[in-house]
Amino acid sequence: MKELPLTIALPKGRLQKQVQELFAKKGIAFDFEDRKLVAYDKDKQFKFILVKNSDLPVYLKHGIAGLGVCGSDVVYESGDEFYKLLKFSFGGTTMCLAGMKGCDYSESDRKLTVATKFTKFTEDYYSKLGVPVEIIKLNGSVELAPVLGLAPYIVDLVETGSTLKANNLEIFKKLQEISVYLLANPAYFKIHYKKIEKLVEFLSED
Amino acid sequence: MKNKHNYLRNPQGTEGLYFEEADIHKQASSSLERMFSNWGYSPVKTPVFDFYDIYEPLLDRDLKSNIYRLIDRDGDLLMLRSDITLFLAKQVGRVLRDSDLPARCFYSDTILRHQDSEDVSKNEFYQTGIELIGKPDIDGDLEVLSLLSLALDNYDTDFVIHIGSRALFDLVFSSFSTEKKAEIASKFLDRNFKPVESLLESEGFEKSKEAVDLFSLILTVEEVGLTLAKYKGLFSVAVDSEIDKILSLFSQLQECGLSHELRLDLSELGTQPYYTGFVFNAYTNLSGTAVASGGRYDKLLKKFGFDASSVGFSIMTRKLDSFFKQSSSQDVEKIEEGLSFAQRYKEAVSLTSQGKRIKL
Repeated sequence: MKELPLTIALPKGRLQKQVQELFAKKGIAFDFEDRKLVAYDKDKQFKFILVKNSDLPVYLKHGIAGLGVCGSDVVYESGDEFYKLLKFSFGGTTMCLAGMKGCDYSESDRKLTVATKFTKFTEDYYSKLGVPVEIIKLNGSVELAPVLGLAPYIVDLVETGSTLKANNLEIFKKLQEISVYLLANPAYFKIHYKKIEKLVEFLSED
Repeated sequence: MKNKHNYLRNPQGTEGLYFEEADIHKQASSSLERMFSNWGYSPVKTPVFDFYDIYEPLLDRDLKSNIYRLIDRDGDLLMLRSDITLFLAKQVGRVLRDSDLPARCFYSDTILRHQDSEDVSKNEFYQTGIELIGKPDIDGDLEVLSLLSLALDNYDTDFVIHIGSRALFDLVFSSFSTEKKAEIASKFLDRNFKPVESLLESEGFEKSKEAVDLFSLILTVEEVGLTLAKYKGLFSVAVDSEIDKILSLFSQLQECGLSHELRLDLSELGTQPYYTGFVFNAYTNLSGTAVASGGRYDKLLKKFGFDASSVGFSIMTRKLDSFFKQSSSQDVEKIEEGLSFAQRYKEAVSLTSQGKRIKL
């Protein structure tokens, strides 16, 4: 099998910076120059590709990127299954149900109307609880939904809670902790397992 | 004009091939079929649909959710062929007798099951493979694995073949219920080992760490002998005997000098519930998923009334068509223009009789 650099997909934004910092701390520097979406480290051991967060599982599933850094929320929504090789200490957040402050919330078998980006998660979560849920799919600024009366509740990621607070919303229930993982396409892992196991050891943050 | 949208798309679960793409696919399949035939395997064709009820207990949740069902004129529930091995298992019981064993057959067929429109990486509509029936010993395993390696030689890319053992898994975890074993197997398949160790400890399993270590192993042919032998004497006599079988399999495979890299990977447990012995998957760069898979299923045929062992593999040929090594003799020659049709026809007959491909 030809020795090629390990291909790692990174999501654009804050996570990309955090991964770059982690690699740099371990002595491997790389940079995406002039708006380029592909970068290599100095020794060309790694090829990094920069993709939209929600597209990352697609690149990973097709084996275009063998490895990827992604939150468990995005992977769950994609419905794909990858090997979780390493849990990072950064990027963690919580999936929460929220609504207008003071709104009367009780979890019963009454139908919930929820606005969210995370339709699969919300449907599966409430289906397991036996609570019927009507989902309104939004792609951003989900906090607006209760404020403008589109839906009384939202399911969204909450880090500090400041956006909720600014919009007079409050958390009613923490649904799940979300973590960021180093993921592998299973077939890619099988082919390059030795190099990948070394990388996992190298990136371990203990 | 009628709805043009429906002319441009196919329903999920099927695929058509045309012209050059179909030509390469046909050449690749024919090359594999020729090879299997040269090794004493006979062709078989399975029905496109069959009664659902007889297969239902053998279908796992994924397969059940992806198969197409239909109802015939008598009200019987039918299913389209979604797994050739299953359909073949029923058919061979109808046509084979004990005196015919061992029997060797090959197939090259389509399977029909739902596939997510975005999930082209699976691409499993066309499968070519072999079944070796009634050869329960290690020679059967060796024959199938070496033929897989030879079959993959038809493609211009490197492969690695990861071999696991469902038999070893069943023996190590023999004290667990079927449901618990399924839970452990599913975690091993995902290489998610940490939760298994806690699960085993909570169940009072004595050698939790050793068992998890064993099933996380990936070893090259050269590493197998030394490393695997260390796990003997830890579990049971039956486990030791299975470890000996694996050691013997790898030692003989090494002696055969197969052209593709083989590895022992005990997290390979087979995704189908009918596997009972060794299981394997073949991978290549950029495939995204396994390109060939197989193993031993010694109890499957008995479920259809014919008690014989079976071992085999399937190659997902569409995933590999672009790597097929085409020979130059497969190029199509254009007959010189300007000649009369009769002259061109005669030249064409002469060239085709030499095995060449022509275009008038």
